[in-house]
Amino acid sequence: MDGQGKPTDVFSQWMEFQKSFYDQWLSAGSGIFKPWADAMKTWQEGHAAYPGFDLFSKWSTMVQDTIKKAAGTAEGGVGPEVLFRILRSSNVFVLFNQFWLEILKDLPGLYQAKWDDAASRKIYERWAGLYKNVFEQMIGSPVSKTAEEIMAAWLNTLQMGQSSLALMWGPWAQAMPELQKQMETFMKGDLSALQEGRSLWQEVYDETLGKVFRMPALGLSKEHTERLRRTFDAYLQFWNAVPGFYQFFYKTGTNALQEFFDRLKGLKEEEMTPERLREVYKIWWTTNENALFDLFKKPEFGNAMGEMLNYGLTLKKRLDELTTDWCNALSIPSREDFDELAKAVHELRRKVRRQQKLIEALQRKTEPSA
Amino acid sequence: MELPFEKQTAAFFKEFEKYNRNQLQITRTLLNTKNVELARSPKDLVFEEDTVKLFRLRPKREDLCPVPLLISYALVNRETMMDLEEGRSLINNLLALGLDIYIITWGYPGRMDRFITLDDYIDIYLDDCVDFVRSRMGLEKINLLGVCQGGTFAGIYTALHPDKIRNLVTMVAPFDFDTEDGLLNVWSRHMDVDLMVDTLGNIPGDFMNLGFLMMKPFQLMMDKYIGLVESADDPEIVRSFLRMEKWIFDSPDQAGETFRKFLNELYKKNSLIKGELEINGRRVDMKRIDMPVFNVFAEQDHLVPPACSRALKGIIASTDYTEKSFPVGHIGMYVSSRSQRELAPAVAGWLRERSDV
Repeated sequence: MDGQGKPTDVFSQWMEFQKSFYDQWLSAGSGIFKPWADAMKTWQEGHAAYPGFDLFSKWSTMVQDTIKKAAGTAEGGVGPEVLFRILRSSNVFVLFNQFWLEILKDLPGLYQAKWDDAASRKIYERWAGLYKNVFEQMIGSPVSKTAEEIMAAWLNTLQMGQSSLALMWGPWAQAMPELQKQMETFMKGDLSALQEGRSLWQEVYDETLGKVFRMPALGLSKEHTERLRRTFDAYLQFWNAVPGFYQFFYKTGTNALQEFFDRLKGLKEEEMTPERLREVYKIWWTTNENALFDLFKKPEFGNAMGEMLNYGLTLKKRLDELTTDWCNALSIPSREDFDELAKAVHELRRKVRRQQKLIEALQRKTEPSA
Repeated sequence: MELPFEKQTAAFFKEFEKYNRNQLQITRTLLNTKNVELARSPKDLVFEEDTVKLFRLRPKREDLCPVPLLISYALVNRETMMDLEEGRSLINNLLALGLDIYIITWGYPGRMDRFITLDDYIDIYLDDCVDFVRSRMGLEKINLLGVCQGGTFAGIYTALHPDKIRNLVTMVAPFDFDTEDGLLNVWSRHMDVDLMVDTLGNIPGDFMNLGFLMMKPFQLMMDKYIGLVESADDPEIVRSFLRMEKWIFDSPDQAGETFRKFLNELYKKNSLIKGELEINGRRVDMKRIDMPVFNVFAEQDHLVPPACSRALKGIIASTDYTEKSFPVGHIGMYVSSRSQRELAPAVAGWLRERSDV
């Protein structure tokens, strides 16, 4: 402390500055909170432009102005110029903030470009440029070639990830309107729409999720993961096959009902209307039975039945494989263990029988001479 | 404008009311019905091997046919169909006509039996049963009767061992599987049998039954039960119905490997009739069947269409071939009143004529 009682060390100076700063802060009053208040208006009033993108920058500028004023009134210490330079280092955050603001601005565009490889690549390249600028401003020298390559590689990975996701969901999004249309047509009674819808589903599935479920897994749980994926695959395939089988019953039932009414109408016209409910019932069930018999002989029904059966069996097989995994983990004999045992017992039975036959033959040979 | 059934509506309601009363009655009858039994003809176990049992039916007459008859039923469902109840029993009728009957019960294959093959059934179990009867009776040859799939077995066996069979009788047995008439034949083409066996092991009897019911869904899953309700007042009809019901759902599982070969080789490749079937490494040459053959089939058979059975004639060398059909279905062959009257006398008469020792 000097002779005039004024603090000369940095800490004392700092304390004095704090006091002055708070005074300024108070005088700035609502000015300091204005950016925040503006931001709140968006939510409160619902129509104001969203100021959030430069909220932090405005706030930072406001704080720096306040500090500048406060520091300017302080005496001694590091002096207003040095203090201001120190505080200006907070601009690093402003830089980052501006970078992220730019990134955020691009997000709607990136969402729009999610199934467009070229458009998304353009956005990622812009991000790479922005990031490079941030680095250059922070460090003060151009970013090295290696750093640029690392940055580009990282963004390329991101972009590829997005492209992969686009490959996964894009076909579904593109097929969805058509699937919806086919479902509407099916609901109106056109059964061919169901078949077309199923085919489209299968096509899209094979290109997207199906590929994922069938791709090789990596690492310690490779086998188990692959089994799980195959089970999901089998489950979805089975449930896609089920409507293909049942559609025939729906169509045949509808046609049989029409035929039933036609037959009754014909009988009425011939004045031979059934007098007993039993007769009507008999016409009804025999009409249905005959219609189904004709259906059952058709190759397309056989195909649909075979398809559903095969997918059902595949699903069971996959579930059994998972069960075997769990059984092995819990030291419980699995189905495979039982099969192995059954095979061994079967072979043993055959062997014993052969031996018995051999012994009997030998006995027969020895009997006459005895 | 006159509404449909306007004049009949009152009568329909009365009929419906009666049906409802019958439903209550059938419930009462079922509550008072004890468990029904099948295959009550007395018999003795004479031989067994693994799941297979051989029974001898107790003869009813002194003057027995000198050559015994061994019956090989199908693996699907059970041989109890042939001895369903008093008054509807082919076995009983054949016994009354003086046949000495042995019958094979294939048993219920469990998980440990899934590797039993078609070759085992024909060339081991059936062969051992034949050998047992031959040895017991001191005969070189015996008579063999095969039913449905058991008839196919009997045909294959006879082709492999013609020296052991004197007369062959086949009933509703398929030999030519390449037909569009039978739904089983059509459907089997679309089935991945290998996947089925690899996945399920043994093929569940319920699965087989579902397939059979699907062939006539309205009749077998609905109309027959409505018919039962209409007969609710008659406990004997209800008991008879229950016996049939018990037989239908008494379905042993099919040993996986046997099912695989039977479906792939016979239903899909039709290899028996093509002369390409092999059992235990030996080709089955049906031309080796040169003994008398009696082939019985059902004209309205939806499981084994007549053409499948009648094909036998063209693939064997027998000069003494007799064919007889009945205007019934697959099961009607054993339970219809006409077959009760005519089937057993036809079979017994044919066998007796050819069984002099």
